[in-house]
Amino acid sequence: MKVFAALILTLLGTSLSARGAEAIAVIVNIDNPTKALTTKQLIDLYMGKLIAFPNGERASPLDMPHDSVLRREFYQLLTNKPIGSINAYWSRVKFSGHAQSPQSMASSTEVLQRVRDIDNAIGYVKLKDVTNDVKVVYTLAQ
Amino acid sequence: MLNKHSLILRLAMVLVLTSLIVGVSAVKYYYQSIYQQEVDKAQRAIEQLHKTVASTASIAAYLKDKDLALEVINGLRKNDIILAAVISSEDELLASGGEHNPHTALPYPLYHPFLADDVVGYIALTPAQEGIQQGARNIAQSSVTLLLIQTSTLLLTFIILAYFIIAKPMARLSAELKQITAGSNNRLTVPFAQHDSEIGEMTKSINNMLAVAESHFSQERALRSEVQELGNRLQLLFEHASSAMILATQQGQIMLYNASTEKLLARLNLSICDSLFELVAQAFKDGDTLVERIRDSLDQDDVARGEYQLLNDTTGQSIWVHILVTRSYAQQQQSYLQIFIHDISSHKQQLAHLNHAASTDKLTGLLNRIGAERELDKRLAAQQNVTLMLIDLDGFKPINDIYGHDAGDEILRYVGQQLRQNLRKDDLCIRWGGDEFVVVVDALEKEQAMQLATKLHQALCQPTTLSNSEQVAVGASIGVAVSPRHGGDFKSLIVAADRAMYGVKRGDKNAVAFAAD
Repeated sequence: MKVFAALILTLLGTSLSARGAEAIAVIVNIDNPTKALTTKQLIDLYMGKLIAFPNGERASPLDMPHDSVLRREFYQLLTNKPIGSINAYWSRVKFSGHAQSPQSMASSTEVLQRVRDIDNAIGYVKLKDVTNDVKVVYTLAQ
Repeated sequence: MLNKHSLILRLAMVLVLTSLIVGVSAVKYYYQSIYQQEVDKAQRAIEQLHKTVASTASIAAYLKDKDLALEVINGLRKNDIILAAVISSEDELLASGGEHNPHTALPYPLYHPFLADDVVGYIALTPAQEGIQQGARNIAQSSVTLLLIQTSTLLLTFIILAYFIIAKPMARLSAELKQITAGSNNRLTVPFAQHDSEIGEMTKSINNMLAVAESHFSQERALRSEVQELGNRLQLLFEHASSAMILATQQGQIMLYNASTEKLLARLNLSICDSLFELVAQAFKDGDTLVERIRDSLDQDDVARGEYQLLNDTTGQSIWVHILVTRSYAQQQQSYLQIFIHDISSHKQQLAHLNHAASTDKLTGLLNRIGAERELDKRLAAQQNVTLMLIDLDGFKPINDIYGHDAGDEILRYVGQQLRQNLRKDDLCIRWGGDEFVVVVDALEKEQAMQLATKLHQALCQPTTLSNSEQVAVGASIGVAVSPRHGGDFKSLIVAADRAMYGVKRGDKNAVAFAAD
């Protein structure tokens, strides 16, 4: 009965996300001691304010290509702002050179690979693409 | 022109003062409202500036990016209305510029660029207060200048107009009015273009008043000349009256007297004195008695009159006057005494003359029968005893017949003369009628009476020479009677004497006889 209900929910969730955006997972290396991140911590990491994980380990945020849909959806869900604002933010911040923008990856596969390879990497992929060898620390969904 | 009490000057001063008070309060209020407006405007502008830089400043505070913050501040400071700006994160100052004033600075919170509710820092903007004030002052000043120009222009225009429309015409009217004598036929001219204005109305009213005054004046003049005329006539009457007239108070204080009074007093060698009664007492014979009588008469019926003799004049002539004193009442129970003294000396003299003529025989100058009766009655009434002799001439008729009436008259005159010469002054000699004479002397005894009668007889019988040179002589028969022996009145004495005289006539004639008892 419970399995059935979960299945219905999953189906419902799938159908709903199919209309808008799919759920996005923020992933870290499986060895990263961080168990979960708050929204604020995540925003601060991606906006160049925080450069380390809560344990003090330096963080290296990974981004999707500049004009990818996932990137747009990620920032939309995270900050509730259009991608243009994020781009404008970076164009201002980069100019002064104080904060570093996340490193751009070519694809989700590359993001996954990088997270698997590097201990302090943090990235985001569609929830459905998450593999077992990475750790989800935050989930964004509508 | 304008003095310090001039209406226009006063008006102008009040207007200027009012304008000043209103102007100053208006300017103060205006400056404050302009200043407030400018401050509000500046605040709005600062608000807008804040909004413009808010996102960048937020990023700078968020990332604690000092360079970015400084850039924002430098950008802000290019605005005149910003004196100083400070950006700080929650725990440190990121950048500042200008002289930050914590009292006037407007602080705005800077929010997390991605989490709307999180405050990440502050931006404080200090407005350029001086500049705002100066701006407000400039605006207020130009407004005040405009107000001042407008007000002073209005004031000046008003004062000039008021001077020409009100003050000058009024001053001219006043000057014109000064030249006009009340009662004359001069009138004010209505000032130019003021016919229906208040000044015009006032001018007309004044002219009406002048007209009324003129008519009153002319009426009064006419009345005055009438009164003067009357006065002149009264004076003429008073001064030229032949009677002496005196006006005195009730107490006898002399108030007024005419020329005739002075003339009369001058004749008596007296001069006017203050008191009427004193004057009367001095001027009249037995004056004190007269004064008493005048007082009594006045008390009884307000008038005293009578004929009285004054003192003899300087030439010794006696003066008789008719005096009339009346009490007349003026207003308020005040009474006056009017005295008229009329000289009746000549009238008195004339009367005496007539009296004398009526009682005198023209031919002989002796008393006639009327005069004799009056005189004798007087003496008898005074209980005076007399001796009466009745004389009838003998031989008179022949002389009259022979030598004519003129000779007869001469004889009669001669007899009269003889009688007068042989009698005393107080004795009465009377031509009884025709050739009859009567003599009345004081009471005598028979002897003495007979002696006197004989003496008279001898005197009468003396021959006389007529004017025609004829020498003639008459005889006389005389009857003698005495009172009270032969009667107490004139008639009975005459009858007694006549009887005695007829006794002689019937006898030898030409003799004297004593009346029988």
